[in-house]
Amino acid sequence: MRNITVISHYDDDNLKFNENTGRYELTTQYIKENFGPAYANDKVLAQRIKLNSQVVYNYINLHVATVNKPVVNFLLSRTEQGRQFILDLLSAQQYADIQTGYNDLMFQPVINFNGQDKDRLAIRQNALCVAAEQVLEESDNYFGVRITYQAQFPWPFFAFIRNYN
Amino acid sequence: MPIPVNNEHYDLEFFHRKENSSYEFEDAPFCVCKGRPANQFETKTFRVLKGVNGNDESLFVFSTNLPTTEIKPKDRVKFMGKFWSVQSVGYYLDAARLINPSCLSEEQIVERCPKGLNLQ
Repeated sequence: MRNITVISHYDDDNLKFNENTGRYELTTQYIKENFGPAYANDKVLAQRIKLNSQVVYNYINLHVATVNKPVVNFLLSRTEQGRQFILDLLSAQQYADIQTGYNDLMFQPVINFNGQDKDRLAIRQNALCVAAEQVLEESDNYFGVRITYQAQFPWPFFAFIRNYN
Repeated sequence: MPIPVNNEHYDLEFFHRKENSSYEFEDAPFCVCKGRPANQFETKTFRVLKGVNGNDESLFVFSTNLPTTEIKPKDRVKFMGKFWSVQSVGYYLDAARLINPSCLSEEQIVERCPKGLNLQ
């Protein structure tokens, strides 16, 4: 198990913690500095930031094994490595959103009046852009374990988070 | 030989109109880039940035990297061995495959979309 720095969640120039949802969100300042004024206006920008976090966290929740969820929640919200991981993940996904409006992929109608339907599974599987998915797949670089591992994590992870609950 | 972007095989050469003249053009082109005639589906998604479209017999050109700021309506273009007059400069919205263009700013949409011309 890698050395993990436990923190209490905090805000800085790049990320802010939303107390209501329990999710980190990118700041407007970070997006404007890195990606430029790509959205129609500031109100849209605020909405897209929230939507981005929602899409990314939902994707993680969907792909984490149920038994590991307490550990993953702890790693994402209470560790410095988790903070860095979320920043990389949200940045990649936000950039895809700026290019094409990617986060609306999940919210499009899947059937039209002609009765043609879209592949629901393909939409679910592609909810994250490839760059963000790559960050997620390489999560062992941050935590020493791949968070989407579909079996139970090694016992030291559970022993570790037990001290903080 | 590299495959051209979006099958743009043909050269577009642009000539400015001479000052104080309505029919004389400069000898040297101020800009050369690649393009091709747009197909029927692309033509329907053409959005005008400058100028107005010509009549039904006018030609739509698809050119991904067209410098839209430099080209003005009424400039002369040499395209596929013939001289044309620029009616309008614009972009093809659907060709950029945007999932939700409504959230993006106008500049971002124009930057993402392939550009085009209406010639007559």
